[in-house]
Amino acid sequence: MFEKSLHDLIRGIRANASQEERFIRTCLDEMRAEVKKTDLDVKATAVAKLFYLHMLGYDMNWAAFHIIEVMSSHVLWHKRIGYIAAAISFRQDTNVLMLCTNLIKKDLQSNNYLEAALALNGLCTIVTPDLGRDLSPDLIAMMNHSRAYIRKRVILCLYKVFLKYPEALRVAVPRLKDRLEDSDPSVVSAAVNVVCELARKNPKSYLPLAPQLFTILNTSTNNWLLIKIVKLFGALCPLEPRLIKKLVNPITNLIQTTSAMSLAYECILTAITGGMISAEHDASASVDGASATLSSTDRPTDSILAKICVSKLKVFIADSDQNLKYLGLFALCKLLPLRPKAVGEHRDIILDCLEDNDISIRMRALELVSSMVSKKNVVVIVEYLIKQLIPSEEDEHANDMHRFASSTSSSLHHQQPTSAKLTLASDSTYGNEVISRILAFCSKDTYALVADFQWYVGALIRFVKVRGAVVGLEVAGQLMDVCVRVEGVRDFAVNALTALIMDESFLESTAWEKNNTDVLFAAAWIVGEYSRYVSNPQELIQYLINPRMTRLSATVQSSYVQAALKVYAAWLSGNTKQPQNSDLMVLDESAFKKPSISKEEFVGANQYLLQGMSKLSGSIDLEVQERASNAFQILTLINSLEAPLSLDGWTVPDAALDLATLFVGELNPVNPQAQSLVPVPEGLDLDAWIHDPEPDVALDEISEVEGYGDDGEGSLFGGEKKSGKKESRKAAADRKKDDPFYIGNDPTSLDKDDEASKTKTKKTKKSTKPRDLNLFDSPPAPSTEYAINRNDELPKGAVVKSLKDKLKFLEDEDTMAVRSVDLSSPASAASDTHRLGWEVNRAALLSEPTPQLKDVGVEVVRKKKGGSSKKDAESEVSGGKKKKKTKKTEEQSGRATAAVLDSHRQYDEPAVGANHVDEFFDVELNKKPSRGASILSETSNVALMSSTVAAEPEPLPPLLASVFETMEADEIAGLSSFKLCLEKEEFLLGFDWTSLGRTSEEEICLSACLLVYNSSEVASSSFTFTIAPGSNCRVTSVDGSDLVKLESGPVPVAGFGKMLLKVFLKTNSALEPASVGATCMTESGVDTFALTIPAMAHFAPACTITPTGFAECLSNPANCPHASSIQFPVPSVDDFSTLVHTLAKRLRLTIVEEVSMAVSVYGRSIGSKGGVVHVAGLIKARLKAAKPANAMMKALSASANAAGAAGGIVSFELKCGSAALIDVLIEEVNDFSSTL
Amino acid sequence: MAIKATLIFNNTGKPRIMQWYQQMASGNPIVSPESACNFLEGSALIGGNDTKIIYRHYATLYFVFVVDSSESELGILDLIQVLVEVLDKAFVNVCELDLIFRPDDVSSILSEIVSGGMVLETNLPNICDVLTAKNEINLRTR
Repeated sequence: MFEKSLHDLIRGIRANASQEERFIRTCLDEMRAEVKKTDLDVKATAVAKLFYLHMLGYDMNWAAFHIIEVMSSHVLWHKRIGYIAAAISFRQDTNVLMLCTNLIKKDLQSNNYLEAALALNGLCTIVTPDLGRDLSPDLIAMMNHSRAYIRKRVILCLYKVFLKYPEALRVAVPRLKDRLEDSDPSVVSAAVNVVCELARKNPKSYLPLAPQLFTILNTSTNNWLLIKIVKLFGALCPLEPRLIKKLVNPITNLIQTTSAMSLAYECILTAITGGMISAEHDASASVDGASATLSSTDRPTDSILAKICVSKLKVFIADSDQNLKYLGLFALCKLLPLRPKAVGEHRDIILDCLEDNDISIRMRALELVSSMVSKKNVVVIVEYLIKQLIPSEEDEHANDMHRFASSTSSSLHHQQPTSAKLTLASDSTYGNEVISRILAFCSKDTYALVADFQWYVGALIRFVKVRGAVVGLEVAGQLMDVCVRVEGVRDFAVNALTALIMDESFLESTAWEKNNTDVLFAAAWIVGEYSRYVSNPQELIQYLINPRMTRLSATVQSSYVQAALKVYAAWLSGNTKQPQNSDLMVLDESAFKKPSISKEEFVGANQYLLQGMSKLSGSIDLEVQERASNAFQILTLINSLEAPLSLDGWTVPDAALDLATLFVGELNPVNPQAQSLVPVPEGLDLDAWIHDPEPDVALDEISEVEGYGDDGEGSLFGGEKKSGKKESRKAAADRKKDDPFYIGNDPTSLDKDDEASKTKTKKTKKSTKPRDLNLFDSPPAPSTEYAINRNDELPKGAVVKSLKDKLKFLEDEDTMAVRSVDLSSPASAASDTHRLGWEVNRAALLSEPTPQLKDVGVEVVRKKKGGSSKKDAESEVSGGKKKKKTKKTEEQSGRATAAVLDSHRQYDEPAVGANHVDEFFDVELNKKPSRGASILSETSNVALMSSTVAAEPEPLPPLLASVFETMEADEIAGLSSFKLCLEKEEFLLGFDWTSLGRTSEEEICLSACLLVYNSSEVASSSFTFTIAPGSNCRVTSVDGSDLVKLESGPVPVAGFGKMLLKVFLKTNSALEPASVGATCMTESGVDTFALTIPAMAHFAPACTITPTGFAECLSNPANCPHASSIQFPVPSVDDFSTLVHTLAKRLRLTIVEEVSMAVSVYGRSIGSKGGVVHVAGLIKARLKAAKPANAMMKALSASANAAGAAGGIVSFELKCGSAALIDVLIEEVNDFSSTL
Repeated sequence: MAIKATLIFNNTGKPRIMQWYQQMASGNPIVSPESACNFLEGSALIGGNDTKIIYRHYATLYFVFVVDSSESELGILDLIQVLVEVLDKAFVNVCELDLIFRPDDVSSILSEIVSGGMVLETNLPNICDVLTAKNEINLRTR
C-alpha cells in the first residue's frame, strides 16, 4: 500500500536533484521487489516507473517478463502501460517475446477495440519475423474491420510486419489496394503511406497501383495525403516514362493553385527529381542511349513547368521564413544540373544567402554556388568567398570602430553586429566547408576550371591564413599537385611560399589550437624541389633551420631539413635565381659562370647548418632525427673538403658541388592507384617470410638489438645510403642536360631563363591587382597560358579501374526485405512449401546449362574421327550412347524449365490487375502519341505478331491481314522486324523485307514493306514515295513493273499505312549490303532517306538443316573459316527462348536445335558464282556470375546493372564463310541487344 | 522507416519524452538545436545520411522529429503543430510540468498521431475523439 506512484517517483527525483543517482538506485531496488508482487496494480505501477527511468537512461531489460505479465492483465490501463513498456524495451532478441504470440492474438480479437489498438501499436515496434509469420493472417483479416480506427492502425502495423516477414506482402497487397478506395479518408491516408514506403524500396511492384493513386491525386483535398502521393509518384516515375506525361498537368496545377507551401514544395521537388523537367537541349543528353533520347526530346510543357518551378522557388528563397529559404535552396540545387541558365538568373539572391546567419542555409547556398561555378566566374566566386572569410582591413577597422562606439554609448548595445562577416570569420566549421568546397571544384578534372594558376596559388596561400579553419593538409596537397603539374607557376609559387615560410606572424599561429601550419610541409618541399627559382637562398636557409621551427609538427620539420639541404646544394652550385639588378649582369659574362661565394659565406653557411642539424638530430621524432643525422654527415663531409687552389682565388670545392647531383631529376605526378597496379614479378611471393620468424624468444630483446644495429648503420653510412637512393633518379635523368655545371656554363640558356622570369614577375604584379566583384561574366584574362600535366604515371600496361567498378550497390536491411518478395511471381498462403519448390526449380536452372552443348560438340568431333578412322563400329556405338545421354539431359532440363515456366504461369494473374494498368497507360498513348521509343516498341510488337502468325497461320490479326493480303503466307514468314528509317515529328517510317529466292543467276528477289505510322494530330491524306534505283539493286512495284511512285491511302491518326514493293538485289560473293535513296513527300514537306538492305538479304528464305547436317557442315573447316563472338546482358534469362527466336528471325537464321539455355542456329546464302556461304552460330545463356571474368564483361555488366541486378548473360558465337558478313551479323546482334 | 523518433526536450537539453520507432542499439543521443532554420541534416550520430532532424521550439520545449527522406519537412512541422495542439487540449494549457509528471499520457497521445513511425492521423477532431473515448473507459475501469 505504501509503494510510490509514478507521480511520487518524479517528484522525488526532482526533490533529490543533488543526489539523484542515489535516490534512483533505492527506487530501482524497490521496483525490483514491486514487480514480483502478485497485485497487478503494484506491478503495473512499477513498470510505469521503470518506463520513466528508461527514458532517463536506466536499463529495464531485466523486467521483460514482468512487462508481459502486465500486458496480459484485463485492466485496460495495465495493458496500456505494458504495451508502452514493451515497445520501448523489447529487442529482436528478447527471449520472452515468444510468449507474446498468443497474448497479442487474443488482444487483436478483443471485443474492446481499444485493446486491439493497443496491441497493434505495440506490435508495430516489437514485431519479429516469427511474430509476423504467426500474426499476419489475423492482421490481414482485420484490414476489413468494421471500425475505420482499427483499419488504419492495422494497415500501418502491417508495414512493420512486411519488413520482418516479407511473405505477408503477397496476400496483403491486394487488400491494401482495396483500402486505397476506403470510405474513410484516414484509412486511405494510411494505405497511401504504406504504399509510399513500400514503393520507395521496390517501386516496380507497385506501378500497377498508379491508376488508383492518380485518381486520388486528382480528387483529394487532403494536403497531407497529396504530399505522400506526389512523393510516391516521384518514386514511380523513373520506371514508367508514360507516367511522367500523365502527371505533368496535375502537378503543374497543384503548384499553381495550392495555398499550402508544403504541398507546393513537394510538387516542385517531384517535378525535378521525377524527370518531369528534362535536361536542357544543349546538354549532352543523347549519350545515354534510348532513355536519354526520350527525355531530351523537347516537350513544350517542360519549359513551362521549369519556369513555374523556378519562379516559385525564388519566392521560397526570398521569403523571410528560414525554412522556406532552406528548402528553396535545396530544390534549386537539384534543378541546377537540368536548367543551369534558369537557376543562374537568381545568382544574386543565392549569393545573399551566403551571408545568412543560419549555418544550415549558408551550407545549402554554398553547395548551390559551388555547383554553379564555371570557367568564367570561378575567380569572382572564390574571391567573394574568401572575402567572407578574411575580413579586409577596412572591415576590421570598421568593426573596431563599432566596438569602440558600442562600449562608449550604451544605446548601441542592442544593435546586432553590422555585418555577418565578423561572425563568419570566427565560424570554423563554415570556413572549413567553404575552403574544402573551393578546393574540390577548382581541382575537379585536373583543374579544368582554373585558367590563372598564379591566382590559384595565391588563393591557396590566403586560405591558410583564415583564422580558425583547419585546412593545412588539404591545401598542402593541392599546392604540391599544382606545382608538380604546372611548370609555369613554379617560379611564382616558390617566391610566394618563401614569403610564407618567412612570415613570422604565420609561424606565431602555432600558438592556436586550430592552425594551418601543416601547409608549411608543402611550402618547404616546393622551395626545396624547385630551388632553382629561389632568389634569396641564404636567407631562406636561416628560416628553414631555425630554433623556432621546432614548434612545427614533426612532418613539417622533416620536410624542412630536406628542403634546407636542397636549397643549400642549389646555392652552392649557383643554380638559384640571380638577384634582379640585371643590367650589369647581362654584360658581365663571368657572373654566369659561377656564383661568387666567398670562403666566409661558404664556411658560415656550412657551420650554421651543421649546428642546426646537430640540434635536430636529437629530435624525439624518428624521421626528423634520421634526416637531420643524414644531413649532418653530408655537411661534415663537405666541411672537411680542401678547397682547390685556383688563380681566381678561393672557389667552392668541386666535391661540394656534387651535392646538387643528389637532387637531380624531375618528379612526375603519379596515379594514386599506381602502386597497387605494379605487377608482382614472377617468382616473388609477397606473403613469404623474408626471415623465418624466430620461435619463442623474448621479442623485446631482439628488437632492441636490431634497433642498435640500425642506428649504427645510419650514422656510418647515412650519406652513402642517401646518395644510393638518388643514384637511380640521377640515372633516369639526362645527365648532361641537368648537370648544374653544364647549365652554369651556358650563358644563352641562362639568359633566356632570366628574361622569362622577369616577364613573369611583371605579370604577377598585374594579376594580383584587386578585381572588380561585379564583373560576373567577364573573366579576368589569365596572364599566361598554363600547360597542365594531366598524365599520371602508371606502371606499364596498367589500366586504372573506374570508381564505378569499385562501388557496390548497398542497400539497407528493410529494402532488401521488401524487395525479396516479387509480387508478380508465385504467391500463396502456404508459401513456405511453395518457396521451397521454387528454390528447387531455380536450382535446376542454375545447374550448368552448357553440358548438353559440350556433348553436341563432342559428338561432332567423334563423328569426324569415326569417318576418318577405321574403327567405325566402336566409335559409332559410343557416339550413339552419347547421343542418348544428351537427349536425356535435355529432357531433364526441359522438364525443369517447364516447371519453372509453369509456376510462372500459375501466378501470371498477378495480385494487382496488370491489364487495367496497361489500359491506364495505353489510353494515354493513343490520345497523345508519344514518339521515339514507345512507338518503336509498338511497331516491333506488330512485327512480333507477324512472326507468331508465321508459325501458326490462323487467325491473322486484322491489321496484318490487310497489310499482307497480296502476299502468300510463307512470303510473310521471314518478315520479322521493322527498322525505323525515318523519324519525323508527324510520322514514323519503318521498313522490312523478306527474301523470296533467286530469280536469275545474278539476282535475288526480296519482298519488302514500308510501314508508316501517323503520329500527328490530323489524319494524313497520303504519303508519296519515289525510290531511285541503286547501284546493286533496283526496286519495283509488287507486280514487277518499274516503280515510279508509291502512294498510300489516307493514314488515320495513330494508325498505320503500308506499301508493298519488290527489291531485286544483285548477288555478289562478298555479300555486301545494298542501299537505295528514297524521298518521301507529304503535305508538310519532302524528306530524303535511305533504304538499307543488309547483307542478310542474301540468305535463303527458308533453309532447313538437320542437327547432323549442321554438325557435318561445321566439321569442314573450309566452310566456316571466320569466327567471332559477342556477349550481351539480358534482364532475365527466363524468356531466353522467345529472345532467341526473335533474334534468329531478325538475323534470318534458322534454328537447328534447341535445348535449355542454348540454341544452335544456321543460315546459308542463296549462292551465286562465289558459291554458298554458310553461317553457323551458338547462342547460350547463363545467369550472371557475381564477378565478371574479364574487362569486356565488366563493361557489359556495368550497363546491365542499370537494367536490374539479377540478369543473365547471353553469348553468341558465330562461324561464317565471309568475314564481311560476320561483321554485319555481329553489328545486328549488337543493335538487337541495345533494344532489350 | 518514415519517422524514426519523436523527442521532446526542454531548453536546457533535458529529455522530457523520447519515443523511438526503431529499436536503437543504444539510447540517449545529444541534440542541441540552436540554428535558425528548423532542419538539421542527419549525421553519423543519428541514423546516417538519409536522416533529417526537424524541430520546433515552443516556450521551454523543443519538439524534435527524426525522419527520413520520405517525409516532407514542412509537413512534419505542421504535424508538430498538431501534436502541440492536441497536448494543449488534453492537458488544458499544456506546460512543461504536464509533460514531466504524465509521460505515460503523453506517450499514449503521441501514439494516436504516430504509430510505429508512420503518421496515423492528422485531423485534430479525430484525434481528440479517440482520446475522449479512451479517457472514459479508463475512468470506468479504474
